[in-house]
Amino acid sequence: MSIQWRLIRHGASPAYDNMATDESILRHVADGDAPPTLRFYTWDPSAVSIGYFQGIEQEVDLAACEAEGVDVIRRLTGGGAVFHDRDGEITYSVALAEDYPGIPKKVLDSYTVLCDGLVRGFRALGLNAEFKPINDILVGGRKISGNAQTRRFGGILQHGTLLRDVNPELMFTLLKVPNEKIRDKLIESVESRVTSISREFESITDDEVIEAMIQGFEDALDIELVPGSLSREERKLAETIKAERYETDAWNYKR
Amino acid sequence: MKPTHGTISADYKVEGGKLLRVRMTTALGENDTPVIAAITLTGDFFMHPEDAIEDLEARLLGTPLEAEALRARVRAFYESDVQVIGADVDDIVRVILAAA
Repeated sequence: MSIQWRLIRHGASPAYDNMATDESILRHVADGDAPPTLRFYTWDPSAVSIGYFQGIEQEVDLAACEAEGVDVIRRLTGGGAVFHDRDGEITYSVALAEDYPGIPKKVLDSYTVLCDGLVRGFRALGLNAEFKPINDILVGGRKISGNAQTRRFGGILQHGTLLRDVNPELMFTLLKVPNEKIRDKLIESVESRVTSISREFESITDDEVIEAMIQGFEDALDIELVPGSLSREERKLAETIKAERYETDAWNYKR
Repeated sequence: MKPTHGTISADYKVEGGKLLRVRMTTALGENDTPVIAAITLTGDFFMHPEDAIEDLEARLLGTPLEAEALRARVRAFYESDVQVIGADVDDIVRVILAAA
């Protein structure tokens, strides 16, 4: 018999709400106050998120983000700088207890398990998808998803991108690059290194993508995803976390 | 300890695509050997638990800017209860020496 998980289709929110909500869910799941949860959301306005260990000024052109109306936020998870395009990305997050059965204790090994749902989802859509260690999913050899995990509060949070569309010129304006020449090379390299749902399909809706991912996760983890929503406590905690952490300079400018 | 100069820095590309950066200041320690006075390691690596980064940076303070000394301190950190993904002992040592 499959374990029941909660499924949340959240829709669009600003970066600070997105990250605060992920953390709030993590804490409630770890405490046993919420079931394991798979959530889908998007970013409005567009945002740049940096990994926990990155230097904000080293990675992000803050003036360019300000000019473009793009939010900037530090994640709870490590990894690199990501441009979350409002119309270019569907984001997922998974929250489960640290001792959830079948999840490897070694983080490196657990990416394979927790990304498998996405790999199956992309394959269900007819794409030639594969997991590439450490934490990427490739379609036809090009990256379509990046993932990052943290283990805190007694739980595991993994979130990642499902790339819908890519805008390399904008991305390498918002992210710092050493010089113009390298910027041009990076923009050019996206063509061969990155793919997106728009590139792989004539037309497909977000819902169709999410449906495939739901099926993929259910198959991969032998779970049943039951549609649900945030509890009032989760929403309250998210508001508190947003104000005390994600919206503060002390957090975002930590490094 | 006498500070030697202002902040020095380096970036180092780890095999497999991750990027490691260091910013530090140095000082002259015993026998006038340069040692780390302050250090910040940044990059797109993963570390579990995340706040172990502060332990690593603390352990590096006062370490001479010399490969074996650095390797010993960093190795001791890696042997503690931590998982690091995207940077190994030699990567940390190399980025520090690259800045020095």
